[in-house]
Formats: sequence, C-alpha cells, structure tokens
Amino acid sequence: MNRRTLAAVALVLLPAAAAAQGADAPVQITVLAEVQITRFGVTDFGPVGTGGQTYTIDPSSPTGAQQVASFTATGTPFATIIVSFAPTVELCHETAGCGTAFTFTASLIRSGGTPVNSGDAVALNGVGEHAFSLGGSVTVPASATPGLYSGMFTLSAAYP
Amino acid sequence: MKRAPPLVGLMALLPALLPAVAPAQGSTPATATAEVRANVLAPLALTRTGTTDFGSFEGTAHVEVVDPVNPGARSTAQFTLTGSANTSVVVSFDASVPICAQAGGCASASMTFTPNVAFSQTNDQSTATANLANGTAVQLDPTGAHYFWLGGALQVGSGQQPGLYSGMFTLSAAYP
Repeated sequence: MNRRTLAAVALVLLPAAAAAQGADAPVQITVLAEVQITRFGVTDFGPVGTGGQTYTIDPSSPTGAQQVASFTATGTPFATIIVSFAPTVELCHETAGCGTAFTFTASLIRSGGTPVNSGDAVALNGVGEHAFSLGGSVTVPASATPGLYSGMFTLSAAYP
Repeated sequence: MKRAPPLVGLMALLPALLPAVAPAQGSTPATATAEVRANVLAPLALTRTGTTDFGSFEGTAHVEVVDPVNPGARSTAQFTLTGSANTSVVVSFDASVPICAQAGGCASASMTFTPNVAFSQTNDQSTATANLANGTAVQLDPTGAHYFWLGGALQVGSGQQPGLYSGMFTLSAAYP
C-alpha cells in the first residue's frame, strides 16, 4: 500500500463532521437500575404424612400450617426482566441427608396470580417492582424417613 | 522528505476514529433463595395393655364407676400413642359402648359403658387429666408419645342378669 492509498483510507475513516456543514444527532441512553431480588419467609408444607401421597401448596392461598415464600424484584420502572429458576428442588432429610430426598416441584406466581415459568419476561411496575409467591408440590414416598426435609429454591432475574 | 508513518501506526489510530459503539450485554442476574421444607410425620401407633375391669357387683340398678386416674383396686386399660415428637394428634372414640353377657351375647343381656379417658404426656396415671372429650387434639411429648387410661361408668339395670359381661372400646388417633 503506497502513501496515496493510505491517505485515502484515512479520509474514509474520518467523521462526517469534517464536512463543511454541521449536523446534530440526538443520542439517548437509559441507564437501568440494577435488578435486585429480596426474599421474605419460607415455603413450608408443615406436617405431612407418608404413604406416597402428594401434598400441594397453592401459592395464592396456602392452608393450615402451610407458608409461602415471597420474592420482590426491583429495578427500573416499567422495565422488562427475565426470571429464571430450576423447576424442581431436592428436599433432603435433616439428619439422613439427601440419600432419602424427595422432589419439590415449584409453582411460582406473579402479581395478580399468573403462573410464571422459568424464562418468562415480566414487566416491573411504575415503582420498579414485581412480586412473586412460591408454592409447589411434593410427593412423599411411602418409605420416607420421618423428619424435617428442606432444600433451597433460587430465583434469578435480569434485564433481557 | 519525511517518511510517511507505517501502516501499523495508522491502524493504531482506527479505534479513535470509529464511533463509540459497545457490544450489547445482558445485565448481571440478581438472585435470591428461599428455603423449602416439609415435616414428614412418623406413622401413628396405638398400643394397649391391660383391661378395664369393674370387678364384681350386685345386679341392682346403679352406676358402677372406675376412676381413670385413681382406679383403686380396679384395673384400667392403658393406651400408648406414638408418632412424631411435639406434634398434635386428634383422638376419637365412641361416647358409649355396649357391654354384653358372654353367655348369650347382647341379645341376652347388656349394659351401657360410658368411657372416661384420662390423658397425659407422662406415663404417670396418677397425674393424668380425666374426661378427655372425643375429638380433642393432644400434643405428643418430645419423644413422640402420649398416654391414656380408660375408666368410665357402667349403668347396671335392675335385675341385671348375673354373669360375665364384656365389650370392646376402641381408641383412634390421627394427625389433624
């Protein structure tokens, strides 16, 4: 490449502002508030029996000793976030460990009671919040060792 | 004549000349965790030892009573309930039980037994509480046990046919 060619390349790369007439272009950028999630409470089936029965917590209306954990995602008002979570969680025995685990299947609902699946997009409200409630179901094996079983459910959220 | 800058030098200027366009990036996910738990209850078991025995009495109209806390010389059946520690259990039983003549059965002669059940978290009859109501929820102790003693009242009719009478009292328990 000779010197003349190099000069031509440089001209092509120079901004158009080098031309005789000036022109303005608006540049906008929205800096999104960091997405955060806070959790309140636990999802607790309370006492359950054995015998291969399935127990369910309705996230919108737990009954008896049942409790539901709630999550609140916060960020930029009206922004869309994508939520993700593992649909199942192993619940392990307090002393016997996960060798006698059984599976919790999550049932997550968002504000208004609409079910939420992992990967769904939800819109934050006017104050930049969206609430979720965690219910679900477990099937306790007939041979399950009596005692307290627990596991951890993780909810994630991010802007698309 | 001064020599032109090499191509490498020009290429180094290119980033400054190009528009400031950054690649698109998704935001870092925020996460929160919640504990999920369930308390699997131990199966309930009720065992019985002994018999509630009114002994012998005259066949005239009266009421024979066995105090479930202080039965004296009479015997009381004991029930031991086991399950998950510190949990609530609902106990149920019939309000009355027919006691029938062993010779000839209920068609021959009978009396009505009205149970009086005493209950306690400790295996000590003398400190138990009498008059457990049907459908009451009792609390299993830290070892998962609860104890019951069966007394009650027997309505004896006038001219009650002599002989040995017996009947079966059934105590049931279930988690709420």
